[in-house]
Amino acid sequence: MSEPLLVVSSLTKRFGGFTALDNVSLSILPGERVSLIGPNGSGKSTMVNCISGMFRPEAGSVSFEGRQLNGVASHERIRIGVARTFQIPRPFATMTVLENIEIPLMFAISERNKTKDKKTRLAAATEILASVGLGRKLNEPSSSLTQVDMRKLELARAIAVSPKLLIADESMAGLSGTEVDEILKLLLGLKERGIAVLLIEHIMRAVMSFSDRVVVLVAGKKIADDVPQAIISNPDVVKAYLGE
Amino acid sequence: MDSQFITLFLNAIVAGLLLGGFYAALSVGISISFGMLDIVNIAHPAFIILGSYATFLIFTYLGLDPILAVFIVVPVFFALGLVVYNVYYHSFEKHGSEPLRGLAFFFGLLFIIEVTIVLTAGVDYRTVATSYTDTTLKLGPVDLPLRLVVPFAISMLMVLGIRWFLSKTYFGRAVSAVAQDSMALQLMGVNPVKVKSYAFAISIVTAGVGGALLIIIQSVQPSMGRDYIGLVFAICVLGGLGSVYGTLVGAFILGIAETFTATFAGPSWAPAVSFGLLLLTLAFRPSGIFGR
Amino acid sequence: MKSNFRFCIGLLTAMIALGSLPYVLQGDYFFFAAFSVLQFVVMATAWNILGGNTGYVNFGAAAFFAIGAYSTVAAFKLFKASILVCIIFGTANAALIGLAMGYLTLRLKGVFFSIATLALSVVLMTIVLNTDFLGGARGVYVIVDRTPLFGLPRYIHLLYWIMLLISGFAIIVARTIQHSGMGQGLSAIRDDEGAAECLGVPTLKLKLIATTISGGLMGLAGTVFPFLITYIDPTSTFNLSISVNSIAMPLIGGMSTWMGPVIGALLLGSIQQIATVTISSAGNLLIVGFLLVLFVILAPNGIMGWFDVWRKRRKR
Repeated sequence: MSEPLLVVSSLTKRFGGFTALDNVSLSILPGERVSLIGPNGSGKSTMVNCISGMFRPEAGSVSFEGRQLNGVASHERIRIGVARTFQIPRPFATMTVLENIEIPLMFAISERNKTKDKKTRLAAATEILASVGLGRKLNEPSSSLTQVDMRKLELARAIAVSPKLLIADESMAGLSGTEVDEILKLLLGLKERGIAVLLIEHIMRAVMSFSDRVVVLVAGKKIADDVPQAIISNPDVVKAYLGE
Repeated sequence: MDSQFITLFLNAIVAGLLLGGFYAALSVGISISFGMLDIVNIAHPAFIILGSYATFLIFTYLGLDPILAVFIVVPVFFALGLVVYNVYYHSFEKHGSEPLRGLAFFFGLLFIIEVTIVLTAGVDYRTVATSYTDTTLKLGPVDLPLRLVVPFAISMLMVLGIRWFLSKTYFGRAVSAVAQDSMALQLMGVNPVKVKSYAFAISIVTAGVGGALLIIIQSVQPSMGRDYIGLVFAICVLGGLGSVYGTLVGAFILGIAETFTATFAGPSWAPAVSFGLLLLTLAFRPSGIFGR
Repeated sequence: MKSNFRFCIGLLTAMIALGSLPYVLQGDYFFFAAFSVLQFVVMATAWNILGGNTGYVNFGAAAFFAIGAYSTVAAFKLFKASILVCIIFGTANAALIGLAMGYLTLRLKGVFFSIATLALSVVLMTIVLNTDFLGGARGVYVIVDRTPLFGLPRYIHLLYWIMLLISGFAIIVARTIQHSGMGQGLSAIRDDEGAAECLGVPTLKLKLIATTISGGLMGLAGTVFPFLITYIDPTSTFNLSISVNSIAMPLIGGMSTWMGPVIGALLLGSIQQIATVTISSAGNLLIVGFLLVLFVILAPNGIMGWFDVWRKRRKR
């Protein structure tokens, strides 16, 4: 039994009088595939923001490989190995696809491992882009990509420096059936690279086929944390999604 | 305690309150345009000075007291505000341009207004001498100069009037709503662009009226607008953007801070007070006192 | 590397050509005007290091300029310092203030940062107005020994040369940043600061570096000013027109590369020199204001932006 990679412990986040996350705990093992599901407004995005460092929790902690992350800046966290994508893709609009990938390759690497050589960097960038299927669009402006290609770029940026944990925030939202499969294939392939994935998703078939484990959040509280089969037959989960 | 000190102290407080009430009138427009519409109208103080000069011209050529001049100022500045907003909207907001462009636009506008005033009215100080400019009432040890009291009264009327308008009338509540959810407004059949343009026009009107009151209080000169930028933004940030009551409180705080500084440290330090307070607020509590 | 080589040759050629003018042209006026235009080249280039790269708009460019000028005044009054010492002193002060200002305000949303820069410049101006040592509102005289050096005919030629060197320096700094890793990081910040932060870009650190360099260079522009006009007062050094120009020139020239501010400064600076003489100084300021508004509405990518579009059309 290996040490957990990510441990979220009693995390609580409030916005004024509204409690977005209430005493939520979960853990992720290295290489594990965990999905986080829940109705809209249940706190999933807040959770992602807390783990990636964009929000400061009121109580509780997030630790990664045994290291406490409270107070650690977001740009540090990706260097430690926690990467995230955004629900709505946020490419660097004035840059090409290749230039977009260069950014994490330049900055998201700790000083020791930094590649000063531009050639090596470009080679790595090309390889990553090819692995997500953007190999032929290297020099296209990122703002003119299709929806699914933007999602791929978003993922490629996040995994460019081989993080140990990728948080994929609704990477498949709004995509067609075949497009969902494309993204799903990408995500499934990450295990071979040793990347654990926390998938935030609404598309149930993706969640079911992808996950080792599913965590359910409702109104800021965790109500279930189990294998996919157990989750769909869990009466509380069914109630949360279908109502009383 | 030294009775002269007490007199000085009391007078500073009263003057500060009177000035503060007036400052609220200068700032309530920013509370609307910046606090509710998210438009950084950094040229707002230039419109104030424009109002002062307009009042000066009306006084000089039509012989009208500034308070009556307001009736001319209001419709003219309303129209002006509509024009400015429409240029702003069609050039920037519609396309979701980066904030830098809007900022640069208003900065350029500030400059244009100032230089236009210089070219048409010269750089000299202009003043308006009304029947009550030199009268000072006395309440015990406290001086109540009418040139402060009258603008104070009108300012409070205007600010509280706007507060009432925003919370009690249909249109006013549409303005408050448009800041938060213009989609919902559209679904209700209200045109958010129209609402915003009227709201912005109102903010310009308050600037014009503020200018009319300013020239009663003191003489004006074209470049004064810049000194007031810090003042009005400081007040709105201090009080919390989008809150008219916050603006009122912020204005009183600033008015008193300024008069105390002028009385006890010297008037040349007064401009630094508002800007200094602004910097401190931004550094430590950007959401202000009543912040959203 | 070829582009670096071409740049160096180009810059060197320009410097030599412009630098030889004192031996060719008669009269002081050209050099006075050229000094003013070069001053704007530095201001615009410096402003754009922060504004063009990160999208943070500094309204207080004049304050940094004034820091440079007043540092020279102070150094001169205290030690009768030479120009070189004044330059270093003024630049260092301005850089430090840039750092402090950045530290206080860069965590704020862009708009609040801009307002804060304006606030800072007024606070600084008020301090100067109340400091007798720096002349207060009356201003102060800087009387120098106006002997020219290096075989130059007149003292103003020396100042012109110094400004030429400073401009070249500023351009080199701006270009180096643009082509460096830091430049790419700054572009990422401008495009999407939140995403950049999550992808490892140390946004605060980079913004602070940019503010410090930008502020320092603007101060550098101001350090030589007292030697030119010999009388320094708050109205001329903290002048809003300096701040407006520092924004207008990069905007009109184009903010995405180091060349835009230079073009904008050369163009707008020359127009202003001509307008001041033919119309009036207030009239010329009106022109600047109008051009700024016009360009920001119609051509936000500036002249370089037009040039890019034209180049792309030609390729087809």
